[in-house]
Amino acid sequence: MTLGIFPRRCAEIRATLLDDAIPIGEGRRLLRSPITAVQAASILNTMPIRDDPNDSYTNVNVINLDNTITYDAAGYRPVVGRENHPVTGVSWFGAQAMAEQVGARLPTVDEWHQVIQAHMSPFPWGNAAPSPELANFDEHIGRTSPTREFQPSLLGFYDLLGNVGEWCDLRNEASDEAPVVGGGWNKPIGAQWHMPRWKWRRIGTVSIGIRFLFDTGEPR
Amino acid sequence: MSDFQTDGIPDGLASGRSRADGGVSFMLIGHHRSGTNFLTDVLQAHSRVSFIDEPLSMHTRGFPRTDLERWGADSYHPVHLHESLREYPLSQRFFRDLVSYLEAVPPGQVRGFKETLLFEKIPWLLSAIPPLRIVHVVRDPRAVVASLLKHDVDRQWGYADRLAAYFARHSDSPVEPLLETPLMRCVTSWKVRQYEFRASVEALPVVTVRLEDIVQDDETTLALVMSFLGLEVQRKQLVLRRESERETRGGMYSTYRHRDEVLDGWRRRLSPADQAFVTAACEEELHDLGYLSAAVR
Repeated sequence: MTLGIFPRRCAEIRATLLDDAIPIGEGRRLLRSPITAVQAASILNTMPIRDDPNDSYTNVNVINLDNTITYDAAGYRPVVGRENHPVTGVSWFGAQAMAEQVGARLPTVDEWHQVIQAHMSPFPWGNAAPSPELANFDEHIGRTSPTREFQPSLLGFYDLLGNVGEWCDLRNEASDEAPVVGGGWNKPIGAQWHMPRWKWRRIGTVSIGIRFLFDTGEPR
Repeated sequence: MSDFQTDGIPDGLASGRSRADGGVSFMLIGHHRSGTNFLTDVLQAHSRVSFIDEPLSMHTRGFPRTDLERWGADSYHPVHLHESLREYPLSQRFFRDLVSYLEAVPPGQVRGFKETLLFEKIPWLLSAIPPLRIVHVVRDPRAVVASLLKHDVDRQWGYADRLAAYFARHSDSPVEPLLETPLMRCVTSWKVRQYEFRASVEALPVVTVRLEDIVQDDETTLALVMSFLGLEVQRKQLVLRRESERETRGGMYSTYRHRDEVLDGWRRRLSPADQAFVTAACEEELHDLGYLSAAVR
């Protein structure tokens, strides 16, 4: 991937995010946790896009007030009290655009599976069956939680399973739906939890977030 | 089966016929606090069902701001979709994208969306999204009203203004405009939407299902709904349905509600006087939907 030239602010955001990303092999780093609402607002406010809370949106669902980010005349901002919750309400198109803005991309489902398999355990946190103490899932809390509220996975990732699902890249596949991985606060963790669910790319929902992957070119 | 109404289903639809060039698209509609989120989760637990939660009410402003404004089939506008959407270009674009998504449903698949508004726009919707099947979920209005009051939906959704505008616009409505108290407005909201729905869906592909029947006889009731959509019930749908009633947890829109709370919670929440008020106000509908028969607790 060509990194390109970023405005100064984007470069700063990229550097901060990259510092908090974990190498996953072959010159790639995956963010330790989903993008938070405050991080998303800082990225979106560098972009020439505007969603309209009085009409509709393309990138961020600023209509549904249950999401963790809003938009007004001053720009995008996190909902007060939910700054460190994962950003929700971002459409797949918005997620793609935000990733590109900081020189990142969305992981593919295969890459996400590689990360899960690298844990060498039934679940990202180990052998224990899912419980409300280990992850935010299946309506036990009833909404998103701060991205680092639960213990990290065995490899140091937060919310790989639970809290929010995460949009994945389509790799040029022609589809009006895109894969979502990682469950969510309102989804059960069943036997097929590692399989993606497919959602219409146009919508931003209260249980889908984003996690960036950086192609750094650095050796493993 | 008296508990499950299939009025107006054209031949072939009820037996699961798909559109000739692809799969099935449908809309699930129900009044606020009628179990639409629960049924949504059960439906999309099926591996062939893709679902969108309130695309027009929670992803656009153009549609909720025209709530209870009757749109007939002949009011479809080729440019603005509807004259009332003229000032909402992004809502228009969102709707067009939704239509494209629904029309592109692959063979053997089902794509649907849920709405808790739009009862009075069904003729317009059917002219804009052909062929759309409709699953209508109802719940005992006494339970609906008890839940609306508990969650302060009257204030959050501005029932007073919406209903006042409705009666000003549609003086032909037979529903009595009881608007003085939250209890009255919740009852009136339910009756208005029930009336608008019934008035617009004659001879259309509609199935009406009672929430209580899904809880009390999930296999039979879900089989009829899924058959209407051209599919068979999958085991994981029944597993989720049965898990959902073991305890109450989560937020306002949670699928997890204890069985007793779903079926009988309203008897504890509504005072005897309020129960009597709702029962009297909705007597005709309660009879029509079978809620005053011995078959329902």
